[in-house]
Amino acid sequence: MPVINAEYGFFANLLGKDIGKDELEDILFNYGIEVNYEENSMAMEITHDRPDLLSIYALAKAIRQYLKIEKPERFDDIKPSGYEIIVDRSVEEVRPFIAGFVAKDMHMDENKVKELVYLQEKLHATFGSDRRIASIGLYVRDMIKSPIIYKAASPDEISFVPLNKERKMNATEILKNHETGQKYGHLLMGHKKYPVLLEGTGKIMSMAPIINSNDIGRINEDTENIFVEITGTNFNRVSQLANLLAYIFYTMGAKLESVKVKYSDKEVIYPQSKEREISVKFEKINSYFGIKIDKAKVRELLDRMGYNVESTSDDEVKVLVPFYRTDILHQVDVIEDMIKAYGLNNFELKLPTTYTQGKLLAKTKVVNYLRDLMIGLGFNEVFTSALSNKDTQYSAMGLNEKDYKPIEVLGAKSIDVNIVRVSIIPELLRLVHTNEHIPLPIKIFEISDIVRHEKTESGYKNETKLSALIYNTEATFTEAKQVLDYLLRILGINYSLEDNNMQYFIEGRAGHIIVNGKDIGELGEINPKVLSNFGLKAPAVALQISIDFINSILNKA
Amino acid sequence: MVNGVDKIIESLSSKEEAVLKEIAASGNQEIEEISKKTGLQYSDVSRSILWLENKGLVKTLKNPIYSYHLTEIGEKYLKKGIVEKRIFDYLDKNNAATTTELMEELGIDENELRGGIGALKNNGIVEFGTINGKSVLILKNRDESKIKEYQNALADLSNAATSVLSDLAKRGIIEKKSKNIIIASATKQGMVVYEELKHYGKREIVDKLTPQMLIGNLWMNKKFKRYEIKSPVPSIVGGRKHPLYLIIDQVKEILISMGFRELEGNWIETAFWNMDSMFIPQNHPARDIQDTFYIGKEKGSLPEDLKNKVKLVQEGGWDTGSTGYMDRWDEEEAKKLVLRSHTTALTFRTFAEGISIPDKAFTIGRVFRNENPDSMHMPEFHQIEGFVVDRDLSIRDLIGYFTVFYKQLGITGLKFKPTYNPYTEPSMEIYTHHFGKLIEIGNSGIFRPESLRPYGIKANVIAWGLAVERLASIIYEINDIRKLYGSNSSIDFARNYMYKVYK
Repeated sequence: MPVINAEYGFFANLLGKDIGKDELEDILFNYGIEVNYEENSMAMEITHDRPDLLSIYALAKAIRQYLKIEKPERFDDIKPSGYEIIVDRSVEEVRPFIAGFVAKDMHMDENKVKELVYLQEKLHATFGSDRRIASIGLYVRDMIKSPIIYKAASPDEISFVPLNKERKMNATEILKNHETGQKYGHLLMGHKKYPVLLEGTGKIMSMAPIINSNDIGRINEDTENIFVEITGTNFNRVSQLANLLAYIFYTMGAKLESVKVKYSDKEVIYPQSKEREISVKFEKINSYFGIKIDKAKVRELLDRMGYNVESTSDDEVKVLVPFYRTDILHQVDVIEDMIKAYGLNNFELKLPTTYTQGKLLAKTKVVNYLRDLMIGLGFNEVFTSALSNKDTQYSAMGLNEKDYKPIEVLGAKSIDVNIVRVSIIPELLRLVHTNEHIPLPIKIFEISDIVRHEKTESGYKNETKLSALIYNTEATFTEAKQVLDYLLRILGINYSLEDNNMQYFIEGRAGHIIVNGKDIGELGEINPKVLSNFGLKAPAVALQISIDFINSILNKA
Repeated sequence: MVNGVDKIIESLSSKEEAVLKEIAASGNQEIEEISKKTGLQYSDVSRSILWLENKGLVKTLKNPIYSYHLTEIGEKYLKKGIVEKRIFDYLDKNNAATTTELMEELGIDENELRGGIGALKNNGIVEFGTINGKSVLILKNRDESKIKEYQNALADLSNAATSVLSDLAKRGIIEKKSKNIIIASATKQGMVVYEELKHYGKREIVDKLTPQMLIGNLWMNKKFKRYEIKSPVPSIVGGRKHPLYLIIDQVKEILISMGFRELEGNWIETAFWNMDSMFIPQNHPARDIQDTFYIGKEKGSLPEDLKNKVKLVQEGGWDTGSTGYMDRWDEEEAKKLVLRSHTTALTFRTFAEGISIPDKAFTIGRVFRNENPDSMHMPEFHQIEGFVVDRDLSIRDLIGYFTVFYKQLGITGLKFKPTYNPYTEPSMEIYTHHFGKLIEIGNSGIFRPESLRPYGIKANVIAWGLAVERLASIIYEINDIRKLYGSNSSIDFARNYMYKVYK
């Protein structure tokens, strides 16, 4: 989850209310935000659905409304800035959409400059999908003339001084040598022309979504009026980002002015501050709350979550969804906000009343029975990993990847993981290696799953296996066979053994377990080569049986 | 009725009796001496003394004894002569020699040479001079008496003068070793028992009851050696359930008692079942390879009819009154294979198979997230997935189920926090206190209308995914879950963990 940081004192100041640290933590918790304090620094986790809260200013406003210090606002009268963006059709191929607005009278200070840097970073990473779907550019409005042209140009035509550089660079150079160019250049890969913004006198404002120009695109403490643009590959996302960003600028104290975007076939004015209407039924509210909430309370809860109300009838309330909210798809989303305002920790619990019959799976009963038998034989139950690696499951066991295709896991962060296990025995050997210092004998077992190739939707299926291992100064085939013999005798299953030549066993001391003509498992003394691969210094004998098969016999209709 | 002294006497083995008698009769004794006098093995005597001491009949005193031993060099000097003697002899024959010459001729290293010359100089026997411009060692005095004293000391360290021994030790020719000698003496109680024993005459004590004794009734009229029942015994381990599987068993028991039926599912699923089927958008960050494990480059297949319904609801909300995600839904993205990142995949498969109202079901299954293992996280862990389908279920029911469930595991004082899940609305995280901190133990909510629409479910469905390993950490007070489970976990912990009673 994205995290925003703030100094407690600064945040409390924005709230404009005397709130202790613990009380603030509590309020934010009930609002859905987890806080971690480090002395006076706060790290706050914002859920993915609320990009509009990724600014400390906007968050403070939301909490002020939540605490009834402020009422929801309306944005009906945003005046035109006089700026227009003309979209050239050449961008259709590479980055077709753009939006913009003007934020005036910013009264910039050090905090606001910092905030704008972090805010862009956070919004790019989350809502913009690392600038792929949408990205932001900020400019000094007073250095820009209207109309602004958004077009795609060939790399050698694009030449300007990029942010934080002193000399002109062309597009190819920027992608190759500028830090931001190197980081985001892949977004333009494969395109012959790159998107650029030109202001009215023809100066390059930026190359989207890579880098701004060094003068027009540099915001500092002296910048009073900011021109904001958002470009991207998805119309909705670009529009939503423009809207929520406009609101965030508003919470920072700016006056908003609109910008007209002219496409070849349509015109759009940003920010789109007209609120969408959504009907919320009282019956639904009561059903989710589990208690009756009266009209006045509904109104109060909506107020505290920043909603204006258009009208109320006997059975529903017509709610206006704030234009900066991107997460309201359905009336249940509004109801959830009302539940937040009511406070999850203020509900009185209702004891379960739905009657149904509880039931374990038939297989679970078989598994539990076998676990009891194994424990009775003195085996310790263990819990090994399902995620494994080729070294453990293949190389150390002497198993060839051609014999059984490994189930590869992509991009694991843990260096120990590159496949899903196909057998539990190697995991038991790995576990014994980790625990070699403990007193012998080590007698362990586990009943758990492996994955095998099978004709299903995914091409794979789980299979439950009982796997056991005895590790001791002496560990013989006889001991393993005694265990097998005991288990199957108790279950009333006849079996026979056939020679097993798998390379991880000692030849002539291993068997396939055959029941009703089917191979249901194996047992044998582990080959010394394998023991040494696992770094083990004593003999081991292993047993593995398919529990799915045992279950199918025992639970045959 | 057996009095105290008699009881003690009955607990004495014949060896202990012999040792006690010897100690009481002759006063302070070393083990070696007792061994000689009683004819018992040294180890038997020492063990008997330990037992007698436990019974309060004997007390022991440890006297450290120091002794000197030859080091490797010392052994060499003993054989070949101490180095200063050899230098003396050489000079005696040749009058003078350079240090190099001495080292070569005598086969000694620089350290030995330095030690030897030092000893000779201290006694005024040699001095350095110059012959033909070379620095040489010259014999000054032929009084060998001091040298001989050192040489003799090597042969008989026990009679050597303290100053000589400390010199030799400094030069690394001998070393000092200490050893504890145990001296045993009878306590007051020991003397009482000893006196009493005199009246017993010859005792017949039975150590072990054997089948032969039973058959021949040989045990009759005999005394059994009384055991020291308070003394510690070597510990044993038995076969037992793994603590994590035990918690899973206990959770299953609780859920069965609450009327839930059990389900099971597969670890590898299409992204469709893991994400799309429940209304997770295709641009959701959890779908990133940074978070979810993808399997190979292969793709799976999708259920035809359901796929179209999911597309409808994802793109535009279908007829639920929702806007949907207003974005194209890509079926190829849904065909990718993943290791399930939550057990909710199974819940939606169950919905697709058809459910009746009311219904309550659960599964406890392994799920996978692309994490680097640390004390709190593992790339694989377990979720307790549960859902209740019924008419009129509210947030209060959700809170009710958790309160009842966790209470049976001894966890009370739950706190709830709003959160965001793409497929539940409202969504709620469950927290409890652990080591003084609030930690999350579960995530839950009421399924969205858009999530349920493709399956035609009209009732409310409340659902949750609870963390099993977090529960285990709380119940067993573990602060590193890597110790608890996985192929590198601790068998010792699995053998010896303590039983916990839930209140």
